[in-house]
Amino acid sequence: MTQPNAAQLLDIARQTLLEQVLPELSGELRYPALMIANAMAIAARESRLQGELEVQEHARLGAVLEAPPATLAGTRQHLAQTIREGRHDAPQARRALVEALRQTTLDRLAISNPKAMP
Amino acid sequence: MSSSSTTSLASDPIAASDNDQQLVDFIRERAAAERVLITARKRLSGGAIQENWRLDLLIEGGPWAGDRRWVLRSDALSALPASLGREQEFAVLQVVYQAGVKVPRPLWLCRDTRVHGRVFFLMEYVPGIAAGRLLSAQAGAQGQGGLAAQLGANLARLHQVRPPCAALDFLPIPQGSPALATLTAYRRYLDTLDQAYPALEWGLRWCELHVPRSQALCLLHRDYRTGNYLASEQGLEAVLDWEFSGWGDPCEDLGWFSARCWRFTRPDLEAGGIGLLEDFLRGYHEVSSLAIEPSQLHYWQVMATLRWAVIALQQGQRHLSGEEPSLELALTARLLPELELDILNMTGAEAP
Repeated sequence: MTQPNAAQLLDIARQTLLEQVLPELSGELRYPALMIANAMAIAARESRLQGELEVQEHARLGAVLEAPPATLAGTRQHLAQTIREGRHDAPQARRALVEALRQTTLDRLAISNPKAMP
Repeated sequence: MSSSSTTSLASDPIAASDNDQQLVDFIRERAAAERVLITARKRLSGGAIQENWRLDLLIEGGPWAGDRRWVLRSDALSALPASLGREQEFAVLQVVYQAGVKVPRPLWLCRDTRVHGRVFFLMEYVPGIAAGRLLSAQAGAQGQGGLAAQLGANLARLHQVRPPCAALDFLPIPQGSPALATLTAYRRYLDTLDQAYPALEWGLRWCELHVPRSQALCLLHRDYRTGNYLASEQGLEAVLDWEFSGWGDPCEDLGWFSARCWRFTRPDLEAGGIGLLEDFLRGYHEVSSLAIEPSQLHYWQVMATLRWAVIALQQGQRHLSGEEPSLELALTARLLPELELDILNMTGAEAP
Protein backbone atom coordinates (compact mmCIF):
# COMPACT_ATOMS: atom_id res chain seq x y z
CA MET A 1 0.00 0.00 0.00
CA THR A 2 1.21 3.50 -0.79
CA GLN A 3 2.33 5.32 2.34
CA PRO A 4 1.03 7.29 4.11
CA ASN A 5 -2.12 5.17 4.15
CA ALA A 6 -5.71 6.40 4.25
CA ALA A 7 -5.87 6.68 8.05
CA GLN A 8 -2.56 8.53 8.23
CA LEU A 9 -3.65 10.98 5.56
CA LEU A 10 -6.90 11.64 7.38
CA ASP A 11 -5.06 12.15 10.65
CA ILE A 12 -2.76 14.82 9.28
CA ALA A 13 -5.53 16.46 7.25
CA ARG A 14 -7.65 16.68 10.39
CA GLN A 15 -4.76 18.04 12.44
CA THR A 16 -4.13 20.71 9.82
CA LEU A 17 -7.81 21.63 9.78
CA LEU A 18 -8.00 21.96 13.57
CA GLU A 19 -4.67 23.69 14.16
CA GLN A 20 -4.30 25.94 11.13
CA VAL A 21 -7.71 26.47 9.53
CA LEU A 22 -10.13 26.45 12.44
CA PRO A 23 -8.57 29.37 14.39
CA GLU A 24 -9.04 31.59 11.30
CA LEU A 25 -12.71 30.78 10.85
CA SER A 26 -15.63 32.98 11.80
CA GLY A 27 -18.31 31.81 14.19
CA GLU A 28 -20.65 30.57 11.49
CA LEU A 29 -18.05 28.34 9.90
CA ARG A 30 -16.69 26.84 13.09
CA TYR A 31 -19.49 24.34 13.45
CA PRO A 32 -19.19 22.91 9.92
CA ALA A 33 -15.40 22.75 10.40
CA LEU A 34 -15.83 20.74 13.58
CA MET A 35 -18.25 18.42 11.78
CA ILE A 36 -15.65 17.92 9.05
CA ALA A 37 -13.02 17.10 11.69
CA ASN A 38 -15.41 14.62 13.30
CA ALA A 39 -16.15 12.92 9.98
CA MET A 40 -12.42 12.60 9.30
CA ALA A 41 -11.80 11.09 12.72
CA ILE A 42 -14.55 8.50 12.17
CA ALA A 43 -13.20 7.64 8.74
CA ALA A 44 -9.66 7.25 10.09
CA ARG A 45 -10.79 4.96 12.92
CA GLU A 46 -12.89 2.91 10.54
CA SER A 47 -9.98 2.55 8.16
CA ARG A 48 -7.80 1.22 10.98
CA LEU A 49 -10.30 -1.02 12.78
CA GLN A 50 -12.89 -2.18 10.29
CA GLY A 51 -11.16 -5.26 8.85
CA GLU A 52 -10.45 -6.86 12.20
CA LEU A 53 -13.81 -5.93 13.70
CA GLU A 54 -15.77 -7.38 10.80
CA VAL A 55 -14.02 -10.73 11.20
CA GLN A 56 -14.97 -10.70 14.90
CA GLU A 57 -18.54 -9.64 14.20
CA HIS A 58 -18.98 -12.41 11.66
CA ALA A 59 -17.76 -15.02 14.14
CA ARG A 60 -19.76 -13.61 17.05
CA LEU A 61 -23.07 -13.28 15.23
CA GLY A 62 -22.53 -16.61 13.49
CA ALA A 63 -22.17 -18.28 16.88
CA VAL A 64 -25.80 -17.58 17.80
CA LEU A 65 -27.09 -19.06 14.54
CA GLU A 66 -27.57 -22.74 13.76
CA ALA A 67 -26.33 -22.41 10.19
CA PRO A 68 -24.30 -19.21 9.83
CA PRO A 69 -23.94 -17.92 6.24
CA ALA A 70 -20.48 -17.49 4.71
CA THR A 71 -20.53 -13.70 4.49
CA LEU A 72 -20.99 -11.05 7.18
CA ALA A 73 -23.78 -9.36 5.23
CA GLY A 74 -25.55 -12.70 4.87
CA THR A 75 -25.08 -13.44 8.56
CA ARG A 76 -26.59 -10.12 9.60
CA GLN A 77 -29.49 -10.68 7.22
CA HIS A 78 -30.14 -14.19 8.48
CA LEU A 79 -29.85 -13.14 12.12
CA ALA A 80 -32.31 -10.31 11.57
CA GLN A 81 -34.71 -12.80 10.03
CA THR A 82 -34.48 -15.32 12.88
CA ILE A 83 -34.90 -12.55 15.46
CA ARG A 84 -38.06 -11.43 13.69
CA GLU A 85 -39.31 -15.02 13.66
CA GLY A 86 -38.91 -15.20 17.43
CA ARG A 87 -36.17 -17.84 17.45
CA HIS A 88 -34.11 -16.00 20.08
CA ASP A 89 -36.90 -15.31 22.57
CA ALA A 90 -36.11 -17.97 25.18
CA PRO A 91 -34.15 -16.56 28.16
CA GLN A 92 -30.86 -18.28 27.40
CA ALA A 93 -30.96 -17.61 23.66
CA ARG A 94 -31.92 -14.02 24.37
CA ARG A 95 -28.97 -13.56 26.73
CA ALA A 96 -26.53 -14.95 24.15
CA LEU A 97 -28.07 -12.83 21.39
CA VAL A 98 -28.05 -9.55 23.31
CA GLU A 99 -24.48 -10.16 24.48
CA ALA A 100 -23.29 -10.81 20.90
CA LEU A 101 -25.12 -7.72 19.67
CA ARG A 102 -23.75 -5.63 22.53
CA GLN A 103 -20.13 -6.56 21.74
CA THR A 104 -20.66 -5.80 18.07
CA THR A 105 -22.35 -2.51 18.87
CA LEU A 106 -19.54 -1.49 21.21
CA ASP A 107 -17.04 -2.16 18.42
CA ARG A 108 -19.03 0.10 16.09
CA LEU A 109 -19.27 2.72 18.78
CA ALA A 110 -15.48 2.63 19.14
CA ILE A 111 -15.39 3.80 15.52
CA SER A 112 -18.31 6.25 15.48
CA ASN A 113 -17.99 7.85 18.92
CA PRO A 114 -15.44 6.41 21.35
CA LYS A 115 -16.32 9.15 23.86
CA ALA A 116 -19.72 7.50 24.34
CA MET A 117 -18.18 4.15 25.29
CA PRO A 118 -19.39 3.01 28.72
CA MET B 1 -36.90 15.90 12.54
CA SER B 2 -35.33 19.13 13.39
CA SER B 3 -31.78 18.48 14.23
CA SER B 4 -29.63 21.18 15.64
CA SER B 5 -28.84 24.02 13.33
CA THR B 6 -25.84 23.83 11.13
CA THR B 7 -26.59 25.30 7.81
CA SER B 8 -25.10 28.70 7.53
CA LEU B 9 -27.56 31.22 8.71
CA ALA B 10 -27.81 34.44 6.85
CA SER B 11 -28.51 37.19 9.29
CA ASP B 12 -28.34 40.01 6.83
CA PRO B 13 -31.31 42.30 6.67
CA ILE B 14 -31.61 41.56 2.98
CA ALA B 15 -32.58 44.35 0.65
CA ALA B 16 -36.12 44.20 -0.60
CA SER B 17 -36.60 41.34 -3.01
CA ASP B 18 -39.24 40.88 -5.69
CA ASN B 19 -41.40 38.91 -3.30
CA ASP B 20 -41.37 41.55 -0.62
CA GLN B 21 -44.16 43.64 -2.02
CA GLN B 22 -46.49 40.67 -2.15
CA LEU B 23 -45.57 39.62 1.37
CA VAL B 24 -46.07 43.15 2.63
CA ASP B 25 -49.44 43.31 0.88
CA PHE B 26 -50.46 40.00 2.42
CA ILE B 27 -49.59 41.17 5.92
CA ARG B 28 -51.20 44.56 5.41
CA GLU B 29 -54.43 42.95 4.32
CA ARG B 30 -54.56 40.37 7.11
CA ALA B 31 -53.52 42.83 9.79
CA ALA B 32 -56.01 45.39 8.49
CA ALA B 33 -53.15 47.87 8.50
CA GLU B 34 -52.56 51.03 6.52
CA ARG B 35 -48.88 50.45 6.02
CA VAL B 36 -46.43 47.63 6.72
CA LEU B 37 -42.67 47.89 6.63
CA ILE B 38 -40.25 44.99 6.99
CA THR B 39 -37.40 46.54 8.98
CA ALA B 40 -35.26 43.42 9.42
CA ARG B 41 -35.29 39.72 8.77
CA LYS B 42 -33.18 36.89 10.01
CA ARG B 43 -33.10 33.21 9.15
CA LEU B 44 -33.65 31.23 12.32
CA SER B 45 -31.76 28.07 13.08
CA GLY B 46 -33.18 24.65 13.65
CA GLY B 47 -35.04 24.04 10.44
CA ALA B 48 -33.91 20.83 8.80
CA ILE B 49 -37.35 20.59 7.26
CA GLN B 50 -38.75 24.09 7.16
CA GLU B 51 -37.39 27.53 6.86
CA ASN B 52 -38.08 29.98 9.61
CA TRP B 53 -37.50 33.67 9.19
CA ARG B 54 -37.89 36.23 11.90
CA LEU B 55 -39.47 39.37 10.53
CA ASP B 56 -39.25 42.68 12.32
CA LEU B 57 -42.18 44.76 11.18
CA LEU B 58 -43.40 48.26 11.58
CA ILE B 59 -47.16 48.25 11.26
CA GLU B 60 -49.20 51.40 10.96
CA GLY B 61 -52.92 51.35 11.62
CA GLY B 62 -55.22 48.49 12.54
CA PRO B 63 -55.26 46.19 15.56
CA TRP B 64 -51.60 45.17 15.15
CA ALA B 65 -50.16 48.67 14.91
CA GLY B 66 -46.68 49.07 16.31
CA ASP B 67 -43.38 47.20 16.22
CA ARG B 68 -43.99 43.50 15.73
CA ARG B 69 -41.69 40.53 15.70
CA TRP B 70 -43.18 37.63 13.83
CA VAL B 71 -41.91 34.37 12.38
CA LEU B 72 -42.56 33.28 8.83
CA ARG B 73 -42.46 29.50 8.61
CA SER B 74 -42.45 27.86 5.19
CA ASP B 75 -41.76 24.45 3.72
CA ALA B 76 -38.14 23.80 2.83
CA LEU B 77 -37.09 21.91 -0.27
CA SER B 78 -36.98 18.39 1.08
CA ALA B 79 -39.33 16.93 3.67
CA LEU B 80 -39.12 13.87 5.86
CA PRO B 81 -41.78 11.23 5.49
CA ALA B 82 -44.59 11.60 8.05
CA SER B 83 -44.18 15.32 8.47
CA LEU B 84 -47.13 17.65 8.01
CA GLY B 85 -47.23 20.45 5.49
CA ARG B 86 -47.49 24.01 6.70
CA GLU B 87 -51.23 24.21 6.19
CA GLN B 88 -51.81 21.20 8.43
CA GLU B 89 -49.24 22.32 10.97
CA PHE B 90 -50.99 25.67 11.16
CA ALA B 91 -54.28 23.90 11.93
CA VAL B 92 -52.57 21.92 14.72
CA LEU B 93 -51.03 25.08 16.12
CA GLN B 94 -54.43 26.77 16.23
CA VAL B 95 -56.01 23.81 18.03
CA VAL B 96 -53.29 23.50 20.65
CA TYR B 97 -53.15 27.27 21.17
CA GLN B 98 -56.88 27.13 21.93
CA ALA B 99 -56.24 24.19 24.27
CA GLY B 100 -53.93 26.36 26.36
CA VAL B 101 -50.62 24.79 25.34
CA LYS B 102 -47.74 27.28 25.40
CA VAL B 103 -46.97 27.87 21.74
CA PRO B 104 -46.19 30.86 19.56
CA ARG B 105 -49.54 32.46 18.78
CA PRO B 106 -50.53 31.45 15.25
CA LEU B 107 -51.50 34.38 13.03
CA TRP B 108 -52.29 33.64 9.37
CA LEU B 109 -51.76 30.94 6.79
CA CYS B 110 -50.96 31.84 3.19
CA ARG B 111 -51.78 29.14 0.62
CA ASP B 112 -51.08 31.41 -2.34
CA THR B 113 -47.57 30.43 -3.47
CA ARG B 114 -47.28 33.62 -5.52
CA VAL B 115 -46.75 35.52 -2.28
CA HIS B 116 -43.63 33.72 -1.03
CA GLY B 117 -42.97 30.90 -3.47
CA ARG B 118 -44.20 28.31 -0.98
CA VAL B 119 -47.04 27.88 1.46
CA PHE B 120 -46.23 29.58 4.75
CA PHE B 121 -47.76 30.84 7.93
CA LEU B 122 -47.00 33.64 10.32
CA MET B 123 -46.81 33.31 14.08
CA GLU B 124 -45.59 35.49 16.88
CA TYR B 125 -41.88 35.42 17.65
CA VAL B 126 -41.04 34.07 21.09
CA PRO B 127 -37.57 34.65 22.53
CA GLY B 128 -35.75 32.00 24.52
CA ILE B 129 -33.16 29.26 24.36
CA ALA B 130 -33.88 26.07 22.46
CA ALA B 131 -30.42 24.48 22.24
CA GLY B 132 -30.49 21.20 24.13
CA ARG B 133 -26.81 21.22 24.99
CA LEU B 134 -27.07 24.65 26.53
CA LEU B 135 -30.23 23.92 28.51
CA SER B 136 -28.93 20.62 29.87
CA ALA B 137 -25.54 22.13 30.71
CA GLN B 138 -27.32 24.83 32.75
CA ALA B 139 -29.64 22.43 34.54
CA GLY B 140 -27.88 22.19 37.93
CA ALA B 141 -27.48 19.15 40.17
CA GLN B 142 -31.19 18.39 40.63
CA GLY B 143 -32.25 19.88 37.33
CA GLN B 144 -34.75 22.68 36.84
CA GLY B 145 -37.79 21.50 38.74
CA GLY B 146 -39.99 24.38 37.64
CA LEU B 147 -39.25 23.99 33.94
CA ALA B 148 -39.69 20.21 34.15
CA ALA B 149 -43.09 20.63 35.83
CA GLN B 150 -44.18 23.22 33.23
CA LEU B 151 -43.17 20.89 30.44
CA GLY B 152 -45.18 18.11 32.07
CA ALA B 153 -48.24 20.29 32.52
CA ASN B 154 -48.08 21.53 28.93
CA LEU B 155 -47.82 18.04 27.56
CA ALA B 156 -50.83 17.01 29.65
CA ARG B 157 -52.78 19.98 28.27
CA LEU B 158 -51.96 18.85 24.74
CA HIS B 159 -53.09 15.33 25.63
CA GLN B 160 -56.51 16.65 26.62
CA VAL B 161 -57.21 17.12 22.89
CA ARG B 162 -58.95 13.96 21.77
CA PRO B 163 -60.45 12.71 18.53
CA PRO B 164 -62.69 13.37 16.80
CA CYS B 165 -61.70 16.96 16.07
CA ALA B 166 -63.15 18.57 12.95
CA ALA B 167 -60.25 21.01 12.56
CA LEU B 168 -57.80 18.08 12.48
CA ASP B 169 -59.78 15.68 10.29
CA PHE B 170 -56.74 15.27 8.02
CA LEU B 171 -54.91 13.35 10.76
CA PRO B 172 -55.52 9.62 10.39
CA ILE B 173 -56.97 7.85 13.42
CA PRO B 174 -54.97 4.67 14.09
CA GLN B 175 -56.92 1.44 14.06
CA GLY B 176 -55.85 -1.15 16.61
CA SER B 177 -52.71 -0.83 18.71
CA PRO B 178 -50.60 2.24 17.81
CA ALA B 179 -47.52 0.39 19.07
CA LEU B 180 -48.01 -2.60 16.77
CA ALA B 181 -48.77 -0.36 13.78
CA THR B 182 -45.51 1.49 14.45
CA LEU B 183 -43.50 -1.72 14.69
CA THR B 184 -44.91 -2.91 11.37
CA ALA B 185 -44.00 0.39 9.72
CA TYR B 186 -40.43 0.25 11.06
CA ARG B 187 -39.96 -3.32 9.84
CA ARG B 188 -41.27 -2.36 6.44
CA TYR B 189 -38.76 0.47 6.34
CA LEU B 190 -35.83 -1.73 7.41
CA ASP B 191 -36.78 -4.16 4.64
CA THR B 192 -36.14 -1.46 2.05
CA LEU B 193 -32.48 -1.08 3.11
CA ASP B 194 -29.50 -2.93 1.66
CA GLN B 195 -28.13 -3.94 5.03
CA ALA B 196 -29.79 -5.72 7.94
CA TYR B 197 -29.78 -4.22 11.44
CA PRO B 198 -29.97 -7.09 13.96
CA ALA B 199 -29.83 -4.85 17.05
CA LEU B 200 -32.82 -2.85 15.81
CA GLU B 201 -34.59 -6.09 14.89
CA TRP B 202 -34.11 -7.26 18.45
CA GLY B 203 -35.51 -3.99 19.79
CA LEU B 204 -38.55 -4.38 17.55
CA ARG B 205 -39.04 -7.99 18.61
CA TRP B 206 -38.79 -7.01 22.29
CA CYS B 207 -41.41 -4.33 21.74
CA GLU B 208 -43.65 -6.81 19.97
CA LEU B 209 -43.42 -9.15 22.97
CA HIS B 210 -44.05 -6.44 25.55
CA VAL B 211 -46.86 -4.33 24.08
CA PRO B 212 -48.49 -2.55 27.03
CA ARG B 213 -52.15 -1.78 27.58
CA SER B 214 -53.11 1.05 25.23
CA GLN B 215 -54.27 4.38 26.58
CA ALA B 216 -57.13 6.33 25.04
CA LEU B 217 -56.02 8.13 21.87
CA CYS B 218 -55.09 11.78 22.15
CA LEU B 219 -53.23 14.42 20.18
CA LEU B 220 -49.47 13.91 20.28
CA HIS B 221 -46.69 16.31 19.43
CA ARG B 222 -44.35 13.46 18.45
CA ASP B 223 -41.20 15.52 18.80
CA TYR B 224 -41.74 16.86 22.33
CA ARG B 225 -38.22 17.00 23.66
CA THR B 226 -35.45 19.28 24.79
CA GLY B 227 -34.32 21.18 21.70
CA ASN B 228 -37.89 21.78 20.53
CA TYR B 229 -39.06 24.26 23.12
CA LEU B 230 -37.93 27.72 24.11
CA ALA B 231 -37.04 28.37 27.73
CA SER B 232 -35.93 31.47 29.57
CA GLU B 233 -35.19 32.33 33.19
CA GLN B 234 -38.96 32.42 33.67
CA GLY B 235 -39.24 28.82 32.53
CA LEU B 236 -41.09 27.44 29.53
CA GLU B 237 -41.85 30.02 26.84
CA ALA B 238 -43.17 27.99 23.90
CA VAL B 239 -43.25 24.52 22.40
CA LEU B 240 -42.11 24.50 18.76
CA ASP B 241 -42.10 22.24 15.71
CA TRP B 242 -45.53 20.68 15.42
CA GLU B 243 -45.06 19.02 12.06
CA PHE B 244 -45.07 15.46 13.40
CA SER B 245 -48.34 15.76 15.34
CA GLY B 246 -50.89 13.00 15.17
CA TRP B 247 -53.27 10.82 17.17
CA GLY B 248 -51.72 8.17 19.36
CA ASP B 249 -50.96 6.82 22.83
CA PRO B 250 -50.01 9.64 25.24
CA CYS B 251 -47.18 7.51 26.64
CA GLU B 252 -45.44 7.82 23.27
CA ASP B 253 -44.76 11.54 23.91
CA LEU B 254 -43.70 10.80 27.49
CA GLY B 255 -41.23 8.15 26.32
CA TRP B 256 -39.81 10.39 23.61
CA PHE B 257 -39.33 13.27 26.05
CA SER B 258 -37.60 11.13 28.66
CA ALA B 259 -35.57 8.70 26.49
CA ARG B 260 -31.85 8.71 27.14
CA CYS B 261 -31.09 9.82 23.57
CA TRP B 262 -32.67 13.25 24.25
CA ARG B 263 -30.89 14.10 27.48
CA PHE B 264 -27.93 15.85 25.85
CA THR B 265 -25.14 16.48 28.38
CA ARG B 266 -27.16 15.16 31.35
CA PRO B 267 -28.09 11.48 30.91
CA ASP B 268 -28.79 11.35 34.65
CA LEU B 269 -31.72 13.77 34.33
CA GLU B 270 -34.53 11.63 32.97
CA ALA B 271 -36.78 14.57 32.12
CA GLY B 272 -35.13 15.61 28.88
CA GLY B 273 -31.72 16.23 30.45
CA ILE B 274 -33.11 19.28 32.26
CA GLY B 275 -35.00 17.89 35.24
CA LEU B 276 -36.05 14.99 37.40
CA LEU B 277 -38.71 12.66 36.10
CA GLU B 278 -40.73 13.12 39.28
CA ASP B 279 -40.91 16.89 38.71
CA PHE B 280 -42.01 16.38 35.12
CA LEU B 281 -44.68 13.83 36.09
CA ARG B 282 -45.86 16.01 38.97
CA GLY B 283 -46.55 18.77 36.43
CA TYR B 284 -48.26 16.29 34.11
CA HIS B 285 -50.53 15.05 36.88
CA GLU B 286 -51.53 18.55 37.90
CA VAL B 287 -53.46 18.59 34.63
CA SER B 288 -54.11 14.95 33.79
CA SER B 289 -55.36 12.00 35.81
CA LEU B 290 -53.77 9.50 33.43
CA ALA B 291 -52.12 6.63 35.36
CA ILE B 292 -48.65 5.95 33.96
CA GLU B 293 -46.96 2.74 35.03
CA PRO B 294 -43.16 2.65 35.05
CA SER B 295 -43.23 -0.32 32.67
CA GLN B 296 -45.27 1.72 30.17
CA LEU B 297 -42.79 4.56 30.31
CA HIS B 298 -39.89 2.13 29.90
CA TYR B 299 -41.61 0.54 26.91
CA TRP B 300 -42.14 3.87 25.19
CA GLN B 301 -38.54 4.89 25.88
CA VAL B 302 -37.46 1.79 23.94
CA MET B 303 -39.91 2.73 21.18
CA ALA B 304 -38.53 6.28 21.20
CA THR B 305 -34.98 5.05 20.76
CA LEU B 306 -36.06 2.76 17.92
CA ARG B 307 -37.81 5.67 16.28
CA TRP B 308 -34.78 7.91 16.55
CA ALA B 309 -32.65 5.08 15.10
CA VAL B 310 -35.02 4.74 12.14
CA ILE B 311 -34.97 8.50 11.62
CA ALA B 312 -31.16 8.51 11.78
CA LEU B 313 -31.14 5.87 9.05
CA GLN B 314 -33.60 7.93 7.00
CA GLN B 315 -31.44 11.01 7.40
CA GLY B 316 -28.47 9.00 6.18
CA GLN B 317 -30.53 7.83 3.20
CA ARG B 318 -31.39 11.42 2.31
CA HIS B 319 -27.68 12.03 2.02
CA LEU B 320 -26.75 8.73 0.38
CA SER B 321 -29.49 8.90 -2.23
CA GLY B 322 -28.19 12.23 -3.46
CA GLU B 323 -31.51 13.84 -2.62
CA GLU B 324 -29.82 16.18 -0.17
CA PRO B 325 -26.07 15.78 0.16
CA SER B 326 -25.22 16.97 3.66
CA LEU B 327 -22.45 16.31 6.14
CA GLU B 328 -24.87 16.77 9.01
CA LEU B 329 -27.25 14.15 7.63
CA ALA B 330 -24.33 11.80 6.99
CA LEU B 331 -23.09 12.17 10.57
CA THR B 332 -26.60 11.69 11.95
CA ALA B 333 -26.59 8.18 10.50
CA ARG B 334 -23.42 7.56 12.49
CA LEU B 335 -25.36 8.05 15.74
CA LEU B 336 -26.77 4.59 15.21
CA PRO B 337 -24.40 2.59 17.48
CA GLU B 338 -25.22 4.82 20.46
CA LEU B 339 -28.92 4.28 19.91
CA GLU B 340 -28.47 0.55 19.40
CA LEU B 341 -26.54 0.32 22.65
CA ASP B 342 -29.35 2.13 24.51
CA ILE B 343 -31.85 -0.33 23.03
CA LEU B 344 -29.77 -3.35 24.04
CA ASN B 345 -29.31 -1.96 27.55
CA MET B 346 -33.05 -1.48 27.91
CA THR B 347 -34.04 -4.87 26.53
CA GLY B 348 -31.26 -7.22 27.67
CA ALA B 349 -31.39 -10.00 30.22
CA GLU B 350 -31.53 -7.57 33.15
CA ALA B 351 -34.17 -5.37 31.57
CA PRO B 352 -37.66 -5.52 33.05
